[in-house]
This record gives sequence, structure tokens and C-alpha cells, in this order.
Amino acid sequence: MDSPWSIAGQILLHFALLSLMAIGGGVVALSPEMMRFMTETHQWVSHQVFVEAFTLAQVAPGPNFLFATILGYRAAGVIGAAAATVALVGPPSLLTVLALRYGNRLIGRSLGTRIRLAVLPLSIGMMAATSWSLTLMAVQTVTQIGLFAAAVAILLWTRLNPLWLIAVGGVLGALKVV
Amino acid sequence: MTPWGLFVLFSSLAMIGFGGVLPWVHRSLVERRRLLTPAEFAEIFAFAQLLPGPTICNLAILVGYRRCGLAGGLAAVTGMVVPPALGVLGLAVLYDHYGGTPLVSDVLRGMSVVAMALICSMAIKMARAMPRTLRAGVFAAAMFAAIALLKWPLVAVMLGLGGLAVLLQKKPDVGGA
Repeated sequence: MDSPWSIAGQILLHFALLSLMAIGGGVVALSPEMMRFMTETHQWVSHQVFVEAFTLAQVAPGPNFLFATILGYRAAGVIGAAAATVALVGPPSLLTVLALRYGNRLIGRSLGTRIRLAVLPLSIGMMAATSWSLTLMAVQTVTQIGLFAAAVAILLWTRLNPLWLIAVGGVLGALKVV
Repeated sequence: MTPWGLFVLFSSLAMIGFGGVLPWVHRSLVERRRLLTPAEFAEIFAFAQLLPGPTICNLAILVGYRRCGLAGGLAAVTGMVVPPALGVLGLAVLYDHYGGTPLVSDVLRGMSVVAMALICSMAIKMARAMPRTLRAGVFAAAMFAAIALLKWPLVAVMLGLGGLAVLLQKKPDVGGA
């Protein structure tokens, strides 16, 4: 059994590498890979814990990528939480600052636009993959599928604050409908 | 605006941002305080999305840097990350103690279904914005298949498909996206 420090260190390295790939869809799009790393490559957390962490972070105030903080905590306590958070925020922040200072000189508009156009379909594919992997885990029974479909429709075609939907989901869960 | 002011501003935006911070940032910076015009916000947001990492963090850095240089950027992103991270950690600890009850599990299970719907609708909205070309479709499908179905490691897939996509991408004025 790895020590918490060892686990935290591995999370730090892997998530830092992943952070630089979170393009277009944010960190959430990295979920399939993070899940693979945390639940299969290393058995540090279960799939259920992963979904729980995700939902808790959605419900809590603040950026949603903080589900990684919870994952780190589950895997290696407070240092795991810190490692996961620093890893996802640190390298991109550094890159952003460098881009602000030197970006125009190095890359220029044309290459920047090319990269943006090229990466767009890939980030959409990543988002689709994320949705697919996570949904398969949390949406299984008939009533869950019904709630899922209704929620997607409402989100796409109305301007209802998603928090209301999350509350409804919670109530339906408590009533054991979903 | 001082770095400390930026830290306070962004941490307060983060702590009222239940479910997501972005709408609150827009409300505050564009609508209420008028620190940015809608056009400026859109441009900064696009840049923040393109840069690697959490979009909202990049956005904080960009806005903070604009106002107060490096110290401003760092203060803003620290406000966006640290207080909510502590909050989320507290929530996880609470869940450890009280979450085991059937009621909490039930509630969380129901909420998870909706959380998944949120991701799905975001994916659909993104897909709507995709250029309707064969190449875009093929690349998106290839990415989806590699990650979701084949479960290949992201690093390799990103380097491979990403490199290929950039190489094939013609300059915008020449045409062909």
C-alpha cells in the first residue's frame, strides 16, 4: 500500500501533465482519463467515489474542477487534496502568465488561430467522451434515464437555473423515485 | 483595484458560484461593475478557454493581470481557487461523517443524475458550435472513439490527433477549416 505522500506525489505529476491538455472544455473534459488513472491504473478510489466527488463539487460553490480536490482527499488525505489542486491550477496559470507576457511575440495571430480551429473538434470529442463515460456510471435505471433526458431537454431549451434541477434531482432521489 | 481587492472580489464570486462561477463573473464584471464591456469579456473568455487549464482560473488571471499586473493575476486566481477548495474539502469531510446515511446517499444519487445532464447539455451546446465540415466531424468522432470506447491514454491520443489536426489545418485566410 502506497504511503499518502507517494500517492500525492504521483497525483501531482500526472494531474500536472493532464492540466496542460485541458483545452477548450476545461478540466471536466479530462474526467475519463482522471477516472482511469484513479480507479484502474491505481485503485485509489472506486467509480462510485468518483461520481460522488463530481456531484459534491457541482453542488458546492466554486469552480467545478475542484472535484479533483475531493478525489485527492479520498486518495491521500489533505496532502492528496492539495496536490491535486495545485497540479491542475499551477502549470496552466504559469503558462497563461507567460502567454500574457510573451505570447504575441512567439506565436502571432495566424498560428494561434490555426491551433484554435484545429483543436475545437477535438475538445468537442473530449466533452462527448466525458459525458458518455460519466453518464454510463450514474444513469442506469429507467427512471434515472427519464430524469436525465428531461433535464437535458430543459437545460437545452429553457433558461432555468440548473440549481433548481439539481434540487429536484435530490428530492426525487430522497423519495426513491430515481 | 489592488491585488488584495482582486483576491476579495474573485473569492466572493467563487463562493456564491453554486453550480458554476462563470455566470456570476459575467454579472459582476460586465453588468454590475462595468469593468469590462461585453465584447471584452467574450474575447477574454475565448482566450481563457483556449489556454490549457480551468477556464475560470485563466479568466481570473487575465482580468487580474489587466488591472494589476502579475500580482493582480495571481491574487485573482488564488481567490478563485483557495477558499472554494477549502469549502469543498470541508464538504467532503462532512460527507464522511454524515454522508453514509441512506437519505444522503439517495439525495446525492438523484443529484448525480442531474449533474450528468448538465455535462451532456454542455457537450451538445459545444457540438452545435462545431464547424460543419467532414474533417471536423471525423476528428471529433475519432477523439470520442479513442477516449470513450477504446479507452486509450489521453496524452498519447492528444499528441497524435492534436498534432495531425494542427498540421492539416490550413491558414484561415486560405480557407478550409
